[in-house]
Amino acid sequence: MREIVTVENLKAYYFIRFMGNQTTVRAVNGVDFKVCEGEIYGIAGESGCGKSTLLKVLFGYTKPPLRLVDGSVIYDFDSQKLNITAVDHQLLRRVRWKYISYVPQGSMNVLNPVRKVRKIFMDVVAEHTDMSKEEAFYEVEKYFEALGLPLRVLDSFPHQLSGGMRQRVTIALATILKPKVILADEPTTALDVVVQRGVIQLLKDIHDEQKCTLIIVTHDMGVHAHLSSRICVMYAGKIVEEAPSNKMFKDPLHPYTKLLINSLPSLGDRRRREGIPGAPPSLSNLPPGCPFHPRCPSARSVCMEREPALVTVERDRRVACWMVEG
Amino acid sequence: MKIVVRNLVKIFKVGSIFSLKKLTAVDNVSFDILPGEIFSLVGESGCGKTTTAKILLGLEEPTAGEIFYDETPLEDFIRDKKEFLKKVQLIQQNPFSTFNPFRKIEDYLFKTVLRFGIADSREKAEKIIDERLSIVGMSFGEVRDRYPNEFSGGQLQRISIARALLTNPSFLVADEPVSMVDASLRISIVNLFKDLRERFGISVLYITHDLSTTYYVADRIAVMFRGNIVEMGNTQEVLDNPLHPYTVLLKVSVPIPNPETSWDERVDLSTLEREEYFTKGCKFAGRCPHVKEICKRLQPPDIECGGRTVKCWLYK
Repeated sequence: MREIVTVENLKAYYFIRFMGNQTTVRAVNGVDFKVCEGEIYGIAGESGCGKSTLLKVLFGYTKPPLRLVDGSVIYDFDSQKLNITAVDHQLLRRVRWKYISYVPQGSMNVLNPVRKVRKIFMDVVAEHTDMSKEEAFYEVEKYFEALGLPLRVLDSFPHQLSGGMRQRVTIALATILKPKVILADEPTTALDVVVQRGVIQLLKDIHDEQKCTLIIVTHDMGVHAHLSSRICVMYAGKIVEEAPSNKMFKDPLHPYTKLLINSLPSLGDRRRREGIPGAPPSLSNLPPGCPFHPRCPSARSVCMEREPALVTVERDRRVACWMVEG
Repeated sequence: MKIVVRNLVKIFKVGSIFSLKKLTAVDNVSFDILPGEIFSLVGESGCGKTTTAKILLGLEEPTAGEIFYDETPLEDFIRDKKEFLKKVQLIQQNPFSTFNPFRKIEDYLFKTVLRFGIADSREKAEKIIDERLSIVGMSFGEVRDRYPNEFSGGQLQRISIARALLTNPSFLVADEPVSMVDASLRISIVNLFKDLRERFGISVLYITHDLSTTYYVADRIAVMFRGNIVEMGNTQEVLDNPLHPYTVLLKVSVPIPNPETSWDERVDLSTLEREEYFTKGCKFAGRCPHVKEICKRLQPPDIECGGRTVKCWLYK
């Protein structure tokens, strides 16, 4: 399989200056991974672990106070390499929507409230293709029919739609130009379970039909189990474990992943479960050594001093933990 | 404390004068919460679960229906607001908006203790606060002189539970207490409710849309849909073997964290969510796989079925 996204040693920090105090928030702190064409790659982690920032950098959206410190994100579209961290604004405009699109967090609130849904779609189509208004009009209808969304929605204002419908409209908007890579940030968070299932179904349909690559960020491990084919777990700005999803759930290796998966209650099981003690570290003040050691039940002295590297333990598995290395 | 709710109705008027419609947010809801029981109201957003809680707390006037707290009607009980709030406390969904960012955490705790007359001096108050914080796994030393932004969401939620405990309540209303809390800390908050029930015999109304934590913590469950309770009974029985088609749909839609389970069937989402409130018959009829002629015409009655109540014509 061809690798469509290659991320190497990516570091992106927020530099905040307030009342003469400089704070550096290390949101993405040395991340590298590869995503193959046609894959659904999941990024998991708690709030404040840098997963949303990582997605922003993948979309080439680094605006102050967020700044790229090191590393590169290389996209490979039909053997045309593109380093999104080093392209100019003009090229970025041409690449976005057509090649890479982004479903931002809380995306049910991104639609313009005073424009009808159809107009919003036509704006996008007209801006990024040479289609005329007429053609765009029918193109949008055709796409809605293909996705099984009611056409009535096109003539409503966003506030007339329910949250779940707005979320599906935003996903349709992000995919109407058939991009090669879709980045989705928490696409199902804040939705009801039944609607959440509908959105997962929609994303899967789009993936099957357009043969695109999906990168999904969500904290909900249940969603990852149903959607992602490969998952990486982030903790404090770094990847701590990466594995195919069935291996990840069956046999997690990193202590954090283990505790995270064990803390999830499931239907049909009332046995007492325990949460992970402590709280996630602040990204502006990371503990020395492994960032998870203050909460880790099996921490040793080496964990407090040196940070473990992300090493390949099996062909498709990588873990960053001193215990796993041996 | 035993809470009895009988035939509760809440009607909101929506639209302008010309298109005025009556939206029944809570439609003839009855349930009991026994002393020392965790009772869960489950449903999608807009099903009326929060409105029910607001009525129970006296924050919203019901259109019809009766509520009794240990045999005292709510109207009489709430007349002495201080006494009412001592017994009944609320835990809100978003721990970040519960606390004012410009006020110190300890300020909230001291005010609660002193205003309710639980302690008469700051020294005594500090002792009580420290004791309550230790129940939720924290200590007064951790919160002294600190502002809300210095805590994580999970810690803030613990503090707001500790604050609710300061008045020795016998009934807690928890409105989506874990939906804003990180996944790794969620279960520890849920465990707290279990502990509180066991140690102090507090009754808890646990409102959520998350079936997996409900299954874990609740004794009895009521599933709400568009203002109606469609199924009510023992949590384990209801969720292991749901009877109402809506409960079945809810149960199979929970994403189980195991990649080997997959959804084979496709799900039908309603495109007319608001219209469902105004339908004459069963409100789920538009999406129900077992829909019959009668469902569209008449609202089903509450049917007793093996120790639980189901609102569905299928079981008549």
